[in-house]
Amino acid sequence: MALDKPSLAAKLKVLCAEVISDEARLSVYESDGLTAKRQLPGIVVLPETIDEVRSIARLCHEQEVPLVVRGAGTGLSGGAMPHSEGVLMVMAKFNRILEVDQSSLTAVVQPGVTNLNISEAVSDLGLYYAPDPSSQIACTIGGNVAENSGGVHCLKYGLTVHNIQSLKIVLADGEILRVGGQSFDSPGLDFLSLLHGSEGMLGVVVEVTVKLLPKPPAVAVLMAAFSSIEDAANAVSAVIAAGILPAGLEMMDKLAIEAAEAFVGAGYPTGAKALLLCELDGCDEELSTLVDEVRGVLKKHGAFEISVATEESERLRLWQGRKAAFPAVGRLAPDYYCMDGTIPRRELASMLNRISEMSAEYNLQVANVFHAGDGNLHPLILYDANDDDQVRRAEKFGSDILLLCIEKGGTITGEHGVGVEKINEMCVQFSDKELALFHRIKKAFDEKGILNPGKGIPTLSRCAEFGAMHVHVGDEKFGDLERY
Amino acid sequence: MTNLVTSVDQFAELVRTAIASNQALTICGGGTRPFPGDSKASIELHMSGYAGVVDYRPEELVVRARSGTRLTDLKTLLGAEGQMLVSDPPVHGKTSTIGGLIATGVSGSRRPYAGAIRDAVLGVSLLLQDATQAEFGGQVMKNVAGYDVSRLVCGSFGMLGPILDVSLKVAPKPEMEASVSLECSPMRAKEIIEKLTRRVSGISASCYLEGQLRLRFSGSETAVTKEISGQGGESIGNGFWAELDNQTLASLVATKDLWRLSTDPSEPFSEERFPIADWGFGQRWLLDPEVNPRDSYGGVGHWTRVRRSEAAFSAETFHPLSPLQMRLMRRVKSAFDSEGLFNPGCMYPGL
Ligand SMILES: Cc1cc2nc3c(=O)[nH]c(=O)nc-3n(C[C@H](O)[C@H](O)[C@H](O)COP(=O)(O)OP(=O)(O)OC[C@H]3O[C@@H](n4cnc5c(N)ncnc54)[C@H](O)[C@@H]3O)c2cc1C
Repeated sequence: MALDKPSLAAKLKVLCAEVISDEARLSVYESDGLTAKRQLPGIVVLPETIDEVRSIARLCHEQEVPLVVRGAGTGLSGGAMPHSEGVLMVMAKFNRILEVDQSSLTAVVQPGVTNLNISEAVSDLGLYYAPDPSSQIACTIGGNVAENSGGVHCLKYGLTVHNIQSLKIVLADGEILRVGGQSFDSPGLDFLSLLHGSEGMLGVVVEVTVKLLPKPPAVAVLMAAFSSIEDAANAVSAVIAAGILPAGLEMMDKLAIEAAEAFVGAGYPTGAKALLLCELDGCDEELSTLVDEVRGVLKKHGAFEISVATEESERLRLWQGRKAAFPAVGRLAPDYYCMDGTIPRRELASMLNRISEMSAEYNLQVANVFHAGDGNLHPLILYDANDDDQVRRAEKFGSDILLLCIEKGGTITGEHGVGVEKINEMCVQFSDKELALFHRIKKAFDEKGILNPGKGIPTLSRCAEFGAMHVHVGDEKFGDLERY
Repeated sequence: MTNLVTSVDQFAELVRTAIASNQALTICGGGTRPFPGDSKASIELHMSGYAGVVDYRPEELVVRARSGTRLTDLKTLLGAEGQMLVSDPPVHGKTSTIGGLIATGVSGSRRPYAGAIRDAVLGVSLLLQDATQAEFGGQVMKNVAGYDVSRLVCGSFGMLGPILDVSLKVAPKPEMEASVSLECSPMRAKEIIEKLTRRVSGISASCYLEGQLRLRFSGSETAVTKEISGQGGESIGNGFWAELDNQTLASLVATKDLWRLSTDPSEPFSEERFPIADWGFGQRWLLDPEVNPRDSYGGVGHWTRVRRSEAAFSAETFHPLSPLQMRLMRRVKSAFDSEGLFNPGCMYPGL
């Protein structure tokens, strides 16, 4: 349905101070972190209060206009990609930390607060918010909830869903739903879990109560260099098998190491084929034993150089290379495409080898920098977006990686979400019946289907089409098909 | 009608029979925690025959088991590899099953410090209302493909359908655990617990009863030894926590009408009213009340009637929800079970 923009904009202006409908300003919002997918929004609104969000939702609901929510737009699957005939609601003005409770160790924050801001605000109290996506300086807590984001410290401290106490949600029809509470559990179905990772398709997150943790008194980061990917991958499994749960266990391959080193000079050994960063924490008395134990495991699995950082500045320097790895790799080519599958840890070595073979087959470079302890891969495929053939190859390469993740008993997305990007691969991971159930869940929350339409869950006809393409067209280009 | 089922095909057959004869399905695990449902005629679906660990790889920290697998068997298997289920899930009897645990979603004494059982759920296989099997989540640590049905199923009391298999994240057993008991007022106990959670202390359980605060610490030998010696008090066996979680403490066994209040730990507390409080005062136990405790309650928590063998008054098992919550629950229920086949009324009447 075509949008009567002027009329809707006029109505929205009554409800909310900042409404954008001129093309130049709209173009700021045309994509999220998945820049390959762009779409100019119909209208953009920046509400400031929960009441404004409610009345905007009510209006969209009444007029059956698509409503897409956007946090910081750092998402990597096109979840916040606008709808051409819809309203994009930007949560940037919800940027206040409302309350910090030192006795229950929680903070009540607005959804547009950035992830890092929370930890910074409670740092003086010796507290922090554990999930730390690499994008934490920019991404919002609302976006984190919507994607169930992870980060370096999720191996030990859990994903977003494990660190949120309660949410306030505005539903598609403008009603307010509270999920979770001040106790350790809540009666009824666990909607708190269901809303995590729901990609803005079930409701708008308007308030978040996060759990805070005391900072560990002692922290060490081990950096281990390996001469083969297999050795590093096996060392990852061996650390976990030894009954050790590191705070973080991350891996980088040769290309990523070199790129990060050239970018920030973290002191990485550029001769290595693979690098592991292992963070350990605990009390002072136990840390040195733990460090020795891990050092032993890494050595046994072929680490040829191991260094240990305990001073904060040293540790930060080692992490800086990892946290800046995406942009660092980004400097190697005009564009990169970041994939996000999870596989069982034991498959890491064979998976990485296969990716490197595929890299040769597609004639596109790939760098790997990822959450190894969780088995969550992030192959970064390098390409040039101005070269149609490279774009096509990059998309096909990416899709092949995701399908391989499913084959290995894993999933097409560990933390970046499905968005518009992995819609096709959803058809492979789930049966028609499972997808139909997802659609019914969506309908239970959003009967008219106004929230983020076309994202996350493919229609069954879309899958039929994708299945047909897969069989009959094989390598033919499908990247330019409408991906809903 | 009672049916012990050992294969998915048999389950499917029973689902079809129930639909054809307009009966409901009552899903039973080990039968240690029956929750009565609506009185619609029903076929009993006994899951305990559908048992066995499907996949267990200690180095992946994941176990996948059929829902009829006994908790005691699972704990033994994990224990042999130096691992455990997170959150100390209660084992209410020898026959308790993993499916029953996931369906009730209950956690034990480790809950405030190491997370709930729902936090450990990685994937489930469900039987849908059309008698086909569906898979959600998986066996990997991170998975955001599709809505999180596996965690939604946790604590759903069977209302979304029978759980066939479940994959759980497991945890390495701590190198050492030790417990102490300190004599103090509830006020002082709260302060002690708050101080311990305010820093990395290894606290892994807390309970106030009979004028004593009991604490458990877990971690490396060095760390636990240090914490324990810093507490003073009297050293007690770790066995206490299983008695608490499994409700085999004498006072709980003797209780006919057992209520639990789950609330904000900072809510005012009276030891005359609550003989036992655990989870850092976030979970409080009320024994044999004479009137419905919900009637006079003005706090932020919620009451569950955990067990009633004889009771002076009638009351629902779970705390009343808002009309909006009920409406959404009804809609989600019918997304899974439009015919109202599975455990109708088990959680809330009419659901
Ligand atoms: C360099 C880089 C590194 C990254 N590293 C990581 C990482 O380590 N781990 C990780 O998990 N992710 C990572 N990401 C991905 C991204 O940062 C996360 O998905 C993040 O949570 C998105 O937050 P956002 O505020 O930018 O959300 P957006 O991109 O604006 O939106 C993401 C989704 O959330 C929805 N949404 C946003 N706000 C709300 C709300 N208030 N209510 C309802 N729905 C909402 C949107 O509709 C959309 O579907 C990285 C991204 C980049 C660019």
